[in-house]
Amino acid sequence: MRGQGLRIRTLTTVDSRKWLTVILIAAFGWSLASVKWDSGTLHTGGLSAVGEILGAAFTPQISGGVLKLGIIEAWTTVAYAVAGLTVALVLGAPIGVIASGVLARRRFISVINVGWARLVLAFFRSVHELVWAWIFIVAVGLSPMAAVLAIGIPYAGILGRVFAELLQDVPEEPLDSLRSAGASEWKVFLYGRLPMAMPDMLSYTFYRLECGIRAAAVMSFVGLGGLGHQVQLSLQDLDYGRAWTFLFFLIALVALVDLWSSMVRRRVSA
Amino acid sequence: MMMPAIRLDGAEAKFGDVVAVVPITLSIATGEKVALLGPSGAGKTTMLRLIGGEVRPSSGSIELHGRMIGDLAPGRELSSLVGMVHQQFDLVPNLSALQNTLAGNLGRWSLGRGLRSLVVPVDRHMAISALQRVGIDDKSAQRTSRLSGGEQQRVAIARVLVQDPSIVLADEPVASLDPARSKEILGALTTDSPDQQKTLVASMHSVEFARDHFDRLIGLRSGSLVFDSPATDVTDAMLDELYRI
Repeated sequence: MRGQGLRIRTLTTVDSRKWLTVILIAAFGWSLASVKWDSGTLHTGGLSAVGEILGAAFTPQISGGVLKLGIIEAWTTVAYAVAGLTVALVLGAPIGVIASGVLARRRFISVINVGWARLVLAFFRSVHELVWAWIFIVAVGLSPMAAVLAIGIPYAGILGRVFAELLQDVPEEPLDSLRSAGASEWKVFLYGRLPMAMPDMLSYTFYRLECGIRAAAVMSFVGLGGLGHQVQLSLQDLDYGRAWTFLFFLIALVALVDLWSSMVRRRVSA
Repeated sequence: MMMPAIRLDGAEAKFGDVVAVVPITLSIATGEKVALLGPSGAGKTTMLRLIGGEVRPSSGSIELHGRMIGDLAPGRELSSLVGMVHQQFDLVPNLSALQNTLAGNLGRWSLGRGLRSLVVPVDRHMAISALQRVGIDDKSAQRTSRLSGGEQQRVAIARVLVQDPSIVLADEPVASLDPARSKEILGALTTDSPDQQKTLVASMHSVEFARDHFDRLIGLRSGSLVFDSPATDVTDAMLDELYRI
């Protein structure tokens, strides 16, 4: 009886989903028909400009001066990202542990702690890093501190939330056997939860470092220096080859972080 | 008569409507080595978990050394009285065999000591000698997830040796081991230390090993007691009846 009810319910969900798809496709088709294609929706010179920019990827500027500048600016970008992520870890990891609620002994206190920790994390990450950057530029001026905090605060929110979930989702059986060996929840955390969640936590932190490098590059558009600033200047000069040189630096940085991350993960993972 | 190490008084375990262990009354004396026998699903694991305080009895009571199990504080007190080796070993896969073995100390150690030991192992010789007794001290630095099933089983036993409770419960402690190794492990589990008599209750699928290494055999079937006799008194007819399909 129960199985039959379940089947009927799944059938209707699939049906209604199909209908939704049909309606959405129809709406999309209808919206295409309503676009006036001939009145400047597409910029006429746009296609050739795109071709020019893409073509420049094969002729990046590799003069000594540009390369030296690239290295210096790449260093600035990495420094922002690493410092930002450090702030994120110092702030996000402890709040994440509290938000996971795994250390609490008494239910009432646990609910309150989990509640405020989750709220703080949600507040941190609901504001984009660029908006944080504007706020901190107003607060501390056009200084590296603004960029570091602008990356650190929202990333703390994201890291904290993900850490909380990873710490909750480890298998229970090894934890129970630690408890039966006499471990308190703190010791269960140190000897069970943390080691078991660590590979995923590390891997996610490295991924966030990649995102941090990207974010740091964008920070520089707000005037804080770094690779993004150089890309912006080159684009303003219509010097696409030069812009590509700095973009390649950015790609190289992300690739390096990826390599570093897989090296570390191989050592830590089970 | 001396106070028994374990006393079940009409203890019953129910999961929802399913009765896993019907009310059982029995006593196990300090130092006794008891094997639980019976077909799969007979309630052997549930009975061990009842005694270990992992499953609350739905009715009846359980006493360990004269104290109601519910009155024992979890942590140091309970873990010094009773320790359990689970059938699935339940080790932490990312820690080394040494760290998993040392985790048997967590009931005694302060938090600071536990934290320090993750960096520089504390009481290392203790864990090494436990690993030696189960024959895998050469694997102590290995990550536990890289060990074979039989090796992990021995690490789990080494941990309970370090925990050193007065009552050891073991769910199929030699299921993943070859016969020679099984003898060695059962020896390690059933040998009393000079200063303390250990009580051991283990579920066993091998009747032969149970007869050789244990004083007393308890037959369980569908959660009920079929027999409870000294190992020497258990006849083949009794065993046939126990495992009859």
